[in-house]
Amino acid sequence: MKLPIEGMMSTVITGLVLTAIFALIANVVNGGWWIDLILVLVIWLIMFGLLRKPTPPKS
Amino acid sequence: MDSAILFAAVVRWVHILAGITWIGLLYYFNFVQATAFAASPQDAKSRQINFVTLVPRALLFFRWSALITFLFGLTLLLSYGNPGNIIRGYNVSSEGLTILIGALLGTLMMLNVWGIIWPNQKRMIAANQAQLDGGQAPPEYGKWARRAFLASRTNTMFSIPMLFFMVAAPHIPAFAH
Repeated sequence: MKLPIEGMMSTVITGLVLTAIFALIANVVNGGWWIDLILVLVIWLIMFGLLRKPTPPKS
Repeated sequence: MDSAILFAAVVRWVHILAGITWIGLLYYFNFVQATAFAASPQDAKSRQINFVTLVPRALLFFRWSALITFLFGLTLLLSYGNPGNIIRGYNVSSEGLTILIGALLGTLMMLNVWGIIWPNQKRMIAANQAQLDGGQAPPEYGKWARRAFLASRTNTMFSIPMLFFMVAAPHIPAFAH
């Protein structure tokens, strides 16, 4: 499966979607800032999971 | 001018200057260099020469600007609530909390640079130099390249919300209340 961060445009789109989600959570949910901080850490940890098995993408 | 105000202004200016250098080079690597290297019809040797001449210079500015951005940002964060700092404090104000999201993203990005991207790129530069000197590419080369690529792309993805939250705090009314 190809990751969203494999492509240039899909990386930008993923970044924009993340921005919208984080901004919405921070504004709408009570204590949303802390949820955002946890989400950021979770995404970073997912990246480490990907790095442990750095299989090249199928061409 | 009050020395505390001058100090905060200079720290903020250096933080932004180094940050622009860092993110500018991050976008250069991801949007310009990666596609240019892949698309250029040059032979393997030309690519290796580029890798040992161009890449180390770009990475020098890249990694040190990342560290300077982080250290000056940390100084600003620690001075929240002090005279001269426009942010009232992350524990007492929504703008402080908003910037804190950007600060966490930026911190993780800096850790990616120094902990993953630079160590793997350093190995790749050495491998390219060894190939230019007549050696063979090590079997781990693909693994190093993949790790550096994924961490770099994660940073590119993180940079978008990071810049939004850094700027949103003082400039977007919905966040600065």
